[in-house]
Amino acid sequence: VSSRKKVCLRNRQTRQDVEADFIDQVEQGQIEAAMNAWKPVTEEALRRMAEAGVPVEQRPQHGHWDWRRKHANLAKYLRYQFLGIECDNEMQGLCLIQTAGMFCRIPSQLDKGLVYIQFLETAPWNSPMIVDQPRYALTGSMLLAGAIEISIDLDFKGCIGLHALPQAEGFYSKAARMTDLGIDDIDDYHRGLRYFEMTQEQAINFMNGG
Amino acid sequence: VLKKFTKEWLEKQSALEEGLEASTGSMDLAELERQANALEQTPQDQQCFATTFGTLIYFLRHSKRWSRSQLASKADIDENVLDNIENITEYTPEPRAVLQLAKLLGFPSRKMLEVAGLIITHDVKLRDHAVRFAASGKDFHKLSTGQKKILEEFVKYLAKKD
Repeated sequence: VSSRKKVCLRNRQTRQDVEADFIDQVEQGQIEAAMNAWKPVTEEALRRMAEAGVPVEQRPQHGHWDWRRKHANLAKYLRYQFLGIECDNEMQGLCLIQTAGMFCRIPSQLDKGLVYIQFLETAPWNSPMIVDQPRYALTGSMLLAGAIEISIDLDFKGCIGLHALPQAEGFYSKAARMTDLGIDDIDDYHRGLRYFEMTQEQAINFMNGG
Repeated sequence: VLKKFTKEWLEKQSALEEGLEASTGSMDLAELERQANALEQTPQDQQCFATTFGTLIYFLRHSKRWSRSQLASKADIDENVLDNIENITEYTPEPRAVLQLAKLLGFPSRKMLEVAGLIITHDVKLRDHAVRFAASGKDFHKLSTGQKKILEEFVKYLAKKD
């Protein structure tokens, strides 16, 4: 059953904090609405970048994602959970987490369970890769905070893990302050991507602003 | 309730995020689905777990040189229940009996409930251990060194605190 919790985002233009909802089970209709709003903005940005001759590696690597398919194919499995942040009646960010079958790699917590972030995407108007002046800050951080709280609820003590696209490495090392375990050469499906993990201590620090 | 963040936290975190792209993910959708399917618990899995639980209790009782009545008494469960757990593969024990045995034998309650097939496990390693254990036979006096090792590894994994 989906539930909502109040959180804050920050309007980058006015620098005011605005109320938003964290949704812990996003439904198909909400995904549809989000895609209808996001796709035209993303496609227009990709078209402009192509026309301007922006090199492919500088274009958003997440520009082609289709959350409708992700939700339609994966929402039926207990291990997957779709999180969202809604503000101004629009979805500001989506996240797909896996809550079972993933384990820590940091030696101090080796083989303990964790919440793994399979996908995280902010709305195109919040993405610095897509617009010059992103609308809201904190969408990514609030989704991470939600994943950390779910990890605590599941007795994973706040531990989370993810593989970062090259364009997002800075966010997970600097803003999320996760441990960078380097390029993954173990997992066939993430070969070449950097793996990041958050320990219990880092989760506490992140949530408390330490 | 999602933690209520202070004004200072919001200020600091939004400054840290500035100019950084958060969007990430790469796993192929078909592969995610394949992995989820491979790990969903089937009725056959549940049967395997039920068999495993009885065999495990039998093994542990023998290793401690306890009679069935001694174990039943120590765990404060009915001896007939213990008999059913050890000998009837289709038998589904009550959660209380499983929790009492977990407490007595020093295993985490959740893992024991998973091994008993009372709750679905998503712990891949636990499944692997259980399947290998179930395949290793019942009378541990006649087990080969390799089979004993499988049992010992399973018990070691079960005893690990989450």
